[in-house]
Amino acid sequence: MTTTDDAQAKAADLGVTETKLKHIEEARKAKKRFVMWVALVWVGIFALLLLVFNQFNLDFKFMLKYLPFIMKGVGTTIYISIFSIAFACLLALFGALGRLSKNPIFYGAATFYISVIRGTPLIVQIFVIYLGLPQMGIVISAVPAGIIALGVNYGAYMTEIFRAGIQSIGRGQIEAAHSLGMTYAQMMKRVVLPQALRLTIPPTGNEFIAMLKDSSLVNFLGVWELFFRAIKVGRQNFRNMETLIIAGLFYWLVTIIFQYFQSRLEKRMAKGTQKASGMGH
Amino acid sequence: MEPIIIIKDLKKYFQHLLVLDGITTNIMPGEVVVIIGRSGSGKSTLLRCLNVLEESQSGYALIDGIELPIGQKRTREVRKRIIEIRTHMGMVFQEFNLFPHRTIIDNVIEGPVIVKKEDRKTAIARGEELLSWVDMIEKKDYYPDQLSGGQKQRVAIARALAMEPKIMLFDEPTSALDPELIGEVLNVMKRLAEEGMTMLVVTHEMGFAREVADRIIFLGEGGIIEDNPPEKIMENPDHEDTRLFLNHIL
Ligand SMILES: Nc1ncnc2c1ncn2[C@@H]1O[C@H](COP(=O)(O)OP(=O)(O)O)[C@@H](O)[C@H]1O
Ligand SMILES: [Mg+2]
Repeated sequence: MTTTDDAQAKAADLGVTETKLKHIEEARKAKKRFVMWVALVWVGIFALLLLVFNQFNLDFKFMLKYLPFIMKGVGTTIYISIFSIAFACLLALFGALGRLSKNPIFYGAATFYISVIRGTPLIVQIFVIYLGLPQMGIVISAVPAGIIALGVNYGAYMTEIFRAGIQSIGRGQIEAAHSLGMTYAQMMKRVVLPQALRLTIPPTGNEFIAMLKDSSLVNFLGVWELFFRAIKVGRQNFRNMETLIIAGLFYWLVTIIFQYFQSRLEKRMAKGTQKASGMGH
Repeated sequence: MEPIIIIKDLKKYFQHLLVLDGITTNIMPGEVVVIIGRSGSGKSTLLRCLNVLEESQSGYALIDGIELPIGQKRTREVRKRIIEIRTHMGMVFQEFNLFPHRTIIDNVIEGPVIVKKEDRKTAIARGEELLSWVDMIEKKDYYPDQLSGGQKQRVAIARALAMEPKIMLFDEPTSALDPELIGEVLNVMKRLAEEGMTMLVVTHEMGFAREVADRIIFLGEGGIIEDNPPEKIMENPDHEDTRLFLNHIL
C-alpha cells in the first residue's frame, strides 16, 4: 500500500467511526428523552390519583399517626414470604423430580399434588391447613400454618419452573455422567441440579414478588402482617381508606425494591450465560 | 489369550425397528477396531448397547468378564453390574459432553472422586498427569466453553481415562470438529492405541483407520457385513457394498 492509499483508508475509517459515534450519541439522547417522558407520565397519573383520593376526605393526621403501627407488618410480610418461597422451592424440586420420574409412585404423587393444588383456591388451602387440620388433632399456629399453605400452593405452580430447568440440561451431559458410572442420584446432584437450579433463580424471584402480595391472605389467620394491621386500625377507627392506602403503598414500595434486585440479578445471569455459551462455539 | 469383549447374536430394537440384528464378534485385549457404516446403520447404537446407555433385547455379551444384563429387571444387583461395566469402559462422544459448570480439572476428577470415592488430592494429581498427557494442562482451570472443539475432545478423553478403563469407546470423536482440529484428537487416540488400550472407534477417518486399526468392521442392515484388516478392506474388500461405501466416503 502506498502512503496516499494509507491516508485515504484512514480518512475513510475515521469517517465511519464518526458517523457511528453520532448514531450512538443520538440513540442515547432518544433514550433519555423517553425515560423523562415516562417519569412525567408516572408523576402525572400519581397526582391525578391523589386528586381522586382527596375526594375521600382523607384524614392525613390519622394516617401519619398509624403509619408506624402498620409499617411494623412489613417485616412480618417479608419474613413469611421468604420462608414460604423457600418451602415452595423444596416442594417444587421434588414435584419436578416426580413429574420427570419413570416410577409410577413418584409420578403419581407429584401429578396428584399439582392437580389438587391448582384445582383449588389458595384461600381454601389456607383454611384447610389452619382450621381443618385441628379437627384431626393437628394444631398448627397461625404463622407456620400460613407459611405451609403458601409454600404448598406456590410449590405446585413452581414445579413447572424446576421441571423446565431440569429438562434444559442436555441429554449428552446426562449420558456422559452415566458413562462415567454415576448413579441417577449422583448424576442429578453433581451434573443436572447445579445447572438447573441456577436457571430457576430468576423465575423464582418473580414468584417471590408475587408471594409478597399473596401473603396478605394469611391475615385471615390473625397473623399480624401488613394487611392485617391495616384493616385492624382501619375498622377500629372507621378510616379504612386511609389504612388501605398505607398498606398498598408499602406493598408497592417493597415490590419496587425487590423488583430492582430481581432485574439486576436477571441481567447478571443473562450476561453469565452469554459469556458461557458465546465462546468456543 | 481370552477376548476382552465377547458379543453373541446381540439384537436391539427401537420399538419395532430392528437396528442390530444379531451382532457376533470378539475383541481381544489391546485390539483397535474401527467401525464404519452408513448413517443410521447402528454404529452408535452398538457402542451404546455395550455400556448400557441403550438396552439390548436379546443375545449375550461379556465385557471384561462381566455379563451385559439383557432383558433383566433393573434390580440392585443389575444396576451395580451396569455401573461396573461402565467403569471398565470409557466413552467419548461426538459432542464432547463436558460438564460446562465445572473447570477442566474438575471435569477430569469427577468420575474418580464421585464414582470411585477416590481422595481428591490423589485424583487431582492423576488428573493433572492425564491433562499433561493430552497436552491440556495449561487450561486446567478454564471452563469447557472457553476451549476449542479439539481441546474439548482431548479433555473428554482425559476424563474417560481418569476412570482407568480397560476399554475405550469412541463415537465419531472428530465429526463435530473443524477440519484443522481433527489431527490433534486423532493423535491422542493414536498414542492411546500405542499404549495398548483396547479401542472401539466409530469413525470415517480412513487414514487413522489404516494406520491404527487392527480390524475394520463394516456395519450395515443391522449386521456385520465385513470384518477385515484395514489393508484388506480398503484395497480388496470381500463385499461389493463395502467397496461402494468406501468409494463414497473417500
Ligand atoms: N432413541 C432412538 N429411538 C428410536 N430410534 C432410534 C433411536 N436412536 C437411534 N435410532 C434409530 O436407530 C438406527 C441406528 O441409529 P444409530 O445407531 O444412531 O446409527 P449410526 O450411528 O450408525 O448413524 C437409525 O435408524 C436411528 O434412526
Ligand atoms: Mg452415530
